[in-house]
Amino acid sequence: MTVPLQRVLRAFLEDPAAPRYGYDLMKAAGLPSGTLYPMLARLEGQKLVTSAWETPQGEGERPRRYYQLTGEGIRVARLELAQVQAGRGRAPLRLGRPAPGSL
Amino acid sequence: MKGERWLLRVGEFLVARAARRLPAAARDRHHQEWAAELPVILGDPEIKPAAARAGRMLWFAADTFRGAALGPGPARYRGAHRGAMTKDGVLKSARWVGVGFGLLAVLLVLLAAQAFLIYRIIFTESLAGYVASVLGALPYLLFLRFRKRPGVVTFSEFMWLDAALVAAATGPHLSALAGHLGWGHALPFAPISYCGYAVCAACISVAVVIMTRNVRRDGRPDTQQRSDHA
Repeated sequence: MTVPLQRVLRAFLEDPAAPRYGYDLMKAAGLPSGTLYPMLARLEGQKLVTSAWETPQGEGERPRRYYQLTGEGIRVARLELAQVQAGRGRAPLRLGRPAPGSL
Repeated sequence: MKGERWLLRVGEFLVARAARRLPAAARDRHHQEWAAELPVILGDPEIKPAAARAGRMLWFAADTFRGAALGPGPARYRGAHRGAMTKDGVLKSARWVGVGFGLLAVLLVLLAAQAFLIYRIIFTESLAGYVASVLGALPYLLFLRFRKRPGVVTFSEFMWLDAALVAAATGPHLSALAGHLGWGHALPFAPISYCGYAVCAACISVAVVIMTRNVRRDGRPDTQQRSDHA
């Protein structure tokens, strides 16, 4: 598992129930947008993350898209991070190419 | 913040360009998502001063542009407008690599000629030498005049190509002659010395553009038919 992916998963696991926006995750994980968004798309393609549009608060305000770990995502993330912390990162989280139509 | 609207426009332009690199199905969604983040970054109270927020927003947009072009890991994401690499594509790429090496070789030869002329200007100043160097380009000009021209091409295309090649061949000689006649300092690294390089570079660029157009035109079915008839 790559270090950026570990950072993203840790940021999600700080509060797994809380929806996180792309910019929030960028700040929490310390990653640039060009790294984060493709990663989120891959996680979403693997059903580890789900995303939804927020309801606009004010008139003319653009809705933002927020991301959240799925139940399976929480389980896999905890397992993977535990393995990394234990120094046994031998079962890497396989992230293939994004599905057609995704990023 | 002063100039906020202008900054947002720049950011939106960049994320729009980034979204255009994505498959059509994902384009609108990501464009909206990224564009919605821009005003949030620009108004982020945690980042001070305002210039830092502006920089952060532009960096976000620029890096999104980068990320849209790259796939996961080392694999490069290919844009929606491009298909998978085929055998023809590989051959075409290899051909263009060959063209690139050829042009590089030509450029190196021209630069070597320029360096040689500068050396001669320093150590053997004589008008006869410059005239001889200009005459040295004559065989090349004669080659251009009498070579066989394949296919059916318009006069204007070859006229431009020939003009570019002639200028590329004679540029260094003429610049050296200009230096000798006192139109500049005939010394290395002086402005006049760069004239030849500039002329060469410009002419090679023009030649590359015209060659590219010719090759593309040759690839079209109607052109191939014309060539077959010819």
